[in-house]
Amino acid sequence: MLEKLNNLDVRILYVLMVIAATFPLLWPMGLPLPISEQVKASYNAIETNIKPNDLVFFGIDFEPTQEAELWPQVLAVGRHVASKGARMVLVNMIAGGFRYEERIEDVLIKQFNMKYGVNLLSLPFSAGREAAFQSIVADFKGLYKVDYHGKTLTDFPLWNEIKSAKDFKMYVQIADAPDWWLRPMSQVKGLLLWNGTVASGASTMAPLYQSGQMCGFIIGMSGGAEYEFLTKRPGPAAAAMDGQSMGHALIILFVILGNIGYQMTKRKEAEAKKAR
Amino acid sequence: MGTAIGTWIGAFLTIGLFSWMYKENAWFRVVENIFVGASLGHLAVTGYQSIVDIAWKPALQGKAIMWLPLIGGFMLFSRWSRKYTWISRVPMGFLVGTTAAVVMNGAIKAQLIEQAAATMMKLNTINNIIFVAVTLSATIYFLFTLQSKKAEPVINLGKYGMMIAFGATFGQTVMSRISLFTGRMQFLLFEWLKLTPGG
Amino acid sequence: MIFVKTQLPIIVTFVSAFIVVASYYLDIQAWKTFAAELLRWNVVLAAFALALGIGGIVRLHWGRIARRERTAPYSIICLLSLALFLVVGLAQTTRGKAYQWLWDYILLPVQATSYATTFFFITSAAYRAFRIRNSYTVVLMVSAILMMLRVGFFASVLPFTPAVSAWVWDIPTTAGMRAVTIGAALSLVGNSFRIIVGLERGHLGGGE
Repeated sequence: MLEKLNNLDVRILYVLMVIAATFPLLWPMGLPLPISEQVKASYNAIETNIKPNDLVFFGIDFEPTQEAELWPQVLAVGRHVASKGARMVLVNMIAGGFRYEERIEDVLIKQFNMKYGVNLLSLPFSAGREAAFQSIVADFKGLYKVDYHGKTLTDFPLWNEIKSAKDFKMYVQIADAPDWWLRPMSQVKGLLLWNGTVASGASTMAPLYQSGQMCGFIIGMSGGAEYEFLTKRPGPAAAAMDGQSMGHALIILFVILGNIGYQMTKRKEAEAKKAR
Repeated sequence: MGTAIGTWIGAFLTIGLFSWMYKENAWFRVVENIFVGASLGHLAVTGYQSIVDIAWKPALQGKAIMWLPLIGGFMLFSRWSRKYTWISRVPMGFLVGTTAAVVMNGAIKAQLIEQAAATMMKLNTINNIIFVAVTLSATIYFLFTLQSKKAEPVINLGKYGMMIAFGATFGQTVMSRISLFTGRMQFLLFEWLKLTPGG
Repeated sequence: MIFVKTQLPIIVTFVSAFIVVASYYLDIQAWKTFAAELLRWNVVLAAFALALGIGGIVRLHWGRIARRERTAPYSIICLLSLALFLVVGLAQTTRGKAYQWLWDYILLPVQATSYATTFFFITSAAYRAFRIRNSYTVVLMVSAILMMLRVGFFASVLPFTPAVSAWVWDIPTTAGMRAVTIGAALSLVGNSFRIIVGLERGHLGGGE
């Protein structure tokens, strides 16, 4: 039994995990999903701070590698910001993520009747990451000449209404552990910073939320799912939470089983050593 | 039609990468190399667009100063020649220098000053006391390699604080990985196989 | 010539960095405008540096093909997919429909799946690598389990988990990560300073 436990083919574990994560997608179990205080506070940060016509940066900075965790957040939070009547400027500093900008633009125009160029604008990708953000802080209008679609920015009324980054009320950034975003943007006086990030990068950003440098902070697919419920539009994240819960249960079981095998082996070796 | 073919291609690529979990195979190798090539191609295209939009077009429209970064950029390619690699040093020095300056500015304010200020809380609740104690001891443990018996309680508190933090990071990472897999399964089940929840 | 090859790059590093750092502390508009211009140059050079990196990988794969190595067929596939994206992207830019199709149905699946495979590695690590050997690993394990029980179904079923895991997240985890943040920031500032004053020269490359 001990040998079996220690020499278990890891592919059996893979199959069990696949079943645990996939089964609830096809046969939803309807497990309850409580909303955490942190997500509620982040929702309220947008709900109370953003007023109609406020300018909001909406940063979409992730590669397809993080789509499953962050795209639901983009949808849920983007819709929330749009529902407040804000004027949104979409920003992208990650090469792989430009299509998400176009997709959320489509959603905002179709579902919230936003008018491109009037209360919605998409800016193109800019290389340089932190230096590009610093450029936004130093001279926002100098960095961009054309929009995401290649059209001259000065043709749009919204662009002509903006003088600098200081005109913006909030920067909502959906990205993976973006301390490289927060470092430059925190230099803009009066700009509220709001972040949605991946679960694996959340602990890096937690101290920045606790210190008050960010007014909102949601984490991973669970944060996206809870936000979807708060905005009353359950979506892909909410659908995946049953599988998430089952996956967690199985991982905990594997950790326990692995350690049982390990401890039993250790004890056997100690007894054998004593006997000699 | 394009969407249907594309979905099948996407499924082929997805299952190809997952096939490695069973064992190493040629299908996985093919998809892996498509991944590398496609990612590099995309980076090249987006980089090129950045150069054209920020420097090339303004330079052609009369902003003469933008020729400087354009020339500097081409100078970078001298790295490929052993004899002329020194030509790339000036633009590389500029690139690294300005990046280091940006990072330094940001780190001092956002990560040092504001974080230190946020730690200076009133010690009027148990939570605040624990928070400050763990932050200070973990910082001491992280930054200094003290081997003093007298400092052992502080070091141990710092170690336990770090273990809790790293354990939480591991737990969050598990969440993250399960989410990523679930996302791909949603694509395979609902977009490729056109199944619906409930059967 | 030695000045141009060795000292000029260090001077350029220092002067450009100084202008950017000082723009943060000085309230002189002309200085800030010039620093902003330098940052735009940085963005352009960063894009060229991307091309440099890509060129290096192309040379690597080209070498394998030229030497007819065993993995040469895979290198051909790599370069063909690079060429496909490059040709379509340069012809149409990323705004073109054909390029967007390539992104949606080739790049997105491979990138999303490559990270999703780590799901299996974490499964294997949970069973094989996560060993409780001492009190520190017990604490690490308990913290990890609490984080996993904090979301979804378990948070509603187990009465104590939301409060306990929220406390663990808000107090010791955040405190511990703050220490890591401060340590990392000190390291960043230290390394940045070394680069700016010329003590660190690895980025300037070899050669004469």
